[in-house]
Amino acid sequence: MTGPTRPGQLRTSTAALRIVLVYTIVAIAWIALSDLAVDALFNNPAHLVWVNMLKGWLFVLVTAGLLYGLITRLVSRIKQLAAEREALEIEQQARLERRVAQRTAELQAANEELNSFAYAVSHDLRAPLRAMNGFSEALIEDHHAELDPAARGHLDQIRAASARMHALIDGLLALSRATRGDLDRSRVNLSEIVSRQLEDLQIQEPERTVEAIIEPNVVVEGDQRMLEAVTANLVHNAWKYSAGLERAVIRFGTTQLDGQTAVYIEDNGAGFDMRHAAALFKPFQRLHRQDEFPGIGIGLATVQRIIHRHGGDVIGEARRNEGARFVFTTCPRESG
Amino acid sequence: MRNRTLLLVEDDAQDEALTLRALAKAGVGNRIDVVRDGQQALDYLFGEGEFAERVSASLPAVVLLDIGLPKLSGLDVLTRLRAHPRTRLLPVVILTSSDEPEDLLRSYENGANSFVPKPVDFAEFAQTVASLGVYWMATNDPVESAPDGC
Repeated sequence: MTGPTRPGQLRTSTAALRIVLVYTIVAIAWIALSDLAVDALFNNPAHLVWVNMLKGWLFVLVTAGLLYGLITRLVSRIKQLAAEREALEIEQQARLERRVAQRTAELQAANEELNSFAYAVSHDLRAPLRAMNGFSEALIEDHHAELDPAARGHLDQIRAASARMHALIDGLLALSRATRGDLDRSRVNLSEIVSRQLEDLQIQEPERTVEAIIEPNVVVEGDQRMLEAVTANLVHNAWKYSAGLERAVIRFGTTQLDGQTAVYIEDNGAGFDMRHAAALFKPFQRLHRQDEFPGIGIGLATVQRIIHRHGGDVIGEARRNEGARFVFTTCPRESG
Repeated sequence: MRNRTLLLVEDDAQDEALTLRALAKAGVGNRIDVVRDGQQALDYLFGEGEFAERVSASLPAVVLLDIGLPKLSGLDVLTRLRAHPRTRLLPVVILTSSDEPEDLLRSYENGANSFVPKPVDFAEFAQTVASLGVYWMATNDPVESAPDGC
């Protein structure tokens, strides 16, 4: 600790007792000594009456002065201690504010770094990709006749690779964008959002039969745009990993997570092996091979970032070939 | 198409080649001048430095301006163009790899006539550049030379 030491403690009962003790000792001493002195100095009984009276008045004066001195000292000591305590509080407050300011600055610097990184990604990594893609296309357009099927196959591989890298860059940007900007809390009806997102998927893939069981009017507090991204990722995953099932079922509703009301989205699809669950929310980490379920591994990382930004929690549970279930909250535990 | 010039401000040689290819394929036969950084773009348009001979040359029909440019960014170039009486009404299209909402907003705030993100997929890119070329070189009617401000 570098700050000032704590101010001394003052116990009022002890201080009062000390004053009474000093008073008692002085009074006893006065009574004992003054009687001896009077006896020694004055032999004339006629004088004794007024000497004793004078002695009494003197006693009152001396002890009054003594009490005045003792009480004044005590009061000034109390004042001094109060001042010390106040100074300490001000100092602690200032130190706390300095620390908050420092942390805020660090956070801002980190955010700016992330922003400029995302910016560089969006500007600079896309140009070479466009070139790979464009010149492969130009080769096919201009030299089609000279290329045998094998050569055209290689070109297709180049274009597939650049398309995949394009998806990775877009995913990285989506991840960094997901939590940029202010968190704008309002009441968000997740049931409506999830229904809409499932309908959109059904329109894109009309051949699939998916039973959606959605608890109506699940309303949470959070940032509308960010929470839409959360459910979009979870709904999309549920849709994707239940493909190939004859009877796919996707459920959405409320549950409990560590004693707090939470929201879940689950499917009865491929699931995953819980042994690998630690990698679930890491960017670009996937629990399925590309030939099983294609993807870039950015969705759940985005989900977790958004939920953490809200102060909430998200967990994933699954069993292989029996489905996966994701549960999340959107508020810190204390207030929720 | 009338005999008007298109100015392409692009620092990436491959993007330049692909843009020129797409414009040629779209049948845009106009003269296309290319400059490769922000300062060159300003020199070209104001007839200064290496482009001193262009001081009284007519302005291009449109400028396709990238944002991420060496020396002077596209947004800085745009701000200077809008501040100068000679170029304040010059059609400027921001053609960039960025799809950042902030770049879009700042482009329009600085007086861009249009904001076009370059698609990564080449077929889309070619389509986009072709329609830009046809629109700005043939359909759009620019102010031939901006009246002097004062």
